[in-house]
Amino acid sequence: MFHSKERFYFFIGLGCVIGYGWIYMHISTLLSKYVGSVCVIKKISGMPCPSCGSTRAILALLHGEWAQAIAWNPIGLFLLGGLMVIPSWLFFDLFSKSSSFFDTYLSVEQKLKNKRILILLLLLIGMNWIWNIYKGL
Amino acid sequence: MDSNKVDMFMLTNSKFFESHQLYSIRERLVQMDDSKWGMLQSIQFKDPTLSIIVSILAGFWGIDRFIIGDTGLGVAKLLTCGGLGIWVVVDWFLIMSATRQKNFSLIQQVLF
Repeated sequence: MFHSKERFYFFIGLGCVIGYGWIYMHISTLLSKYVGSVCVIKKISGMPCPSCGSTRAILALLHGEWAQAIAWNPIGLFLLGGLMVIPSWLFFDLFSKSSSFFDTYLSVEQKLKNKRILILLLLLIGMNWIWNIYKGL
Repeated sequence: MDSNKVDMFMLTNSKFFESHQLYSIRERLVQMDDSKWGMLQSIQFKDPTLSIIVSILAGFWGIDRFIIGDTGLGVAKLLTCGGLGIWVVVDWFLIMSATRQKNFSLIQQVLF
């Protein structure tokens, strides 16, 4: 997708800004009443999607409730971890003029081309999805 | 390579590429050695029309990204509920061009 490194960094940075904005909307007393579920799958079918509950997990983590966060959706842990690590990494690359994040992304993508790793990952996400449905998120 | 053969190839495969890429592909194909013809025929290009249909129907799961080979982005899209729904809509506009770009990268491996 990314023909240039700049474009990659721009989209990842934008994604982080949107992610932080989304969390802020839930924390803010003024904005929190306007936010709801964005999950179209859930709205149409009534069934949760694999990532449903991630926002609630992140909010629980911000309150220090680890067990509650895992109970909502373990994906939330990875997303919050990503939101904490990626911006600092982007800034590091920006100021040191290196491309370590882009190179890491390319090597991860290369690893994901390995069918075994990909199937294992999708299986984990699938199991988490079944758990979401069972929990009735 | 024989220009009739090249024209035939361009006629059947032009939908897989951006219009501004067609001229350079054709030029390269004309200069290309005949021995690479078999390799060129074996490339499986991704159909941009299929990817837009998949993007509309299953964009929230990132399937559109998986089928064009952007596995990392597909997983990211799946885990973020289609980028909170924003990425899904953005991809409706980007996915056809991204597919053609992928096809161009594929053909470049043979041509260059």
